[in-house]
Amino acid sequence: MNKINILLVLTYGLAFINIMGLFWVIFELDDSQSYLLDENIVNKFDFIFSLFIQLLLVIALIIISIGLTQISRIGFFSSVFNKHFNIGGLLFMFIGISDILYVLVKLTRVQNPEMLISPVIINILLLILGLISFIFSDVLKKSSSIKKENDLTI
Amino acid sequence: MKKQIIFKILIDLLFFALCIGFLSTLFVMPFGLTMIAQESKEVYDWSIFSWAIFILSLIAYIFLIIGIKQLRSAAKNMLQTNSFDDNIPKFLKRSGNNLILSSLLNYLIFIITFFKQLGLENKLNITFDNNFLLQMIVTIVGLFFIIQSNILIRAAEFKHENDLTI
Repeated sequence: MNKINILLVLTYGLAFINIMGLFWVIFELDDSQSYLLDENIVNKFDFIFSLFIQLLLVIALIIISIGLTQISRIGFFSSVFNKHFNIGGLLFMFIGISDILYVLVKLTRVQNPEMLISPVIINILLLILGLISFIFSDVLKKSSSIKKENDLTI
Repeated sequence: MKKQIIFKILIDLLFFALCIGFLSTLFVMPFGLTMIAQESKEVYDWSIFSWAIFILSLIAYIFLIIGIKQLRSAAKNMLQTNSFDDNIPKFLKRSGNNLILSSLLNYLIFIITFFKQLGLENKLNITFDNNFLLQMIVTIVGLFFIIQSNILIRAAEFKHENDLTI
């Protein structure tokens, strides 16, 4: 159960860092907001898209964290938190796929394409994290039904 | 089954991308073209400190590749047999341990460079670093694998008990 708690702290931590990043931008704590005033529509779209992706990431992390909190309270073998992992996984996959596509589009107009390697790896990891959440929820579902059957057997 | 196939394809993609990255670093290195993000200097200007960071990064990278390799084996077993196969928890646990080791080494590099910067420039710089977030995601994925391997072991026990019950 210790590992679950560490995982919980990490996911809440990651969500917190992303929320701070969002606040940082929204409350004009850095100069990224100048993109909104930029006449270039591509820069404006870049800025809004990255905010949207970050917001989705925060939502996905919070949903997964709620599922993990329930696991640490109830235990592994319950089907109660399946939907959290499914929704979280779906969001992670959506973020991964849309950001990879966006990075591919960006490739045509960026001067240093090697700078895009790190975002692509992060997105592939997010896609994998999404799929793991799906597989995790499937395994939990199967396992809880086997346990239920086992507990009912005299 | 579809999820498992996509999972295997993604793991294969990541594994080959990481191998290409590792090999290209090794082959490009002797020509002095390599740069590391923490130093932004060319190889000719590297100090012992830069070399230490480079070697630590390489070790972390090797752990990451081993972790993904173990994950490939787990995904392969998942496709060939069912989720309750005995080998899958073993591969998942090894993969999780390697991923966590890799991210821990990277955290160490962040701490070293942070203190070096603090010592040299005497100022605190807080930035929204993509590399740090990447390491947090790697740690989360690693822990997920270890927890999943524990669940699979327990689930396999239940299944075995269930199969034996008449």
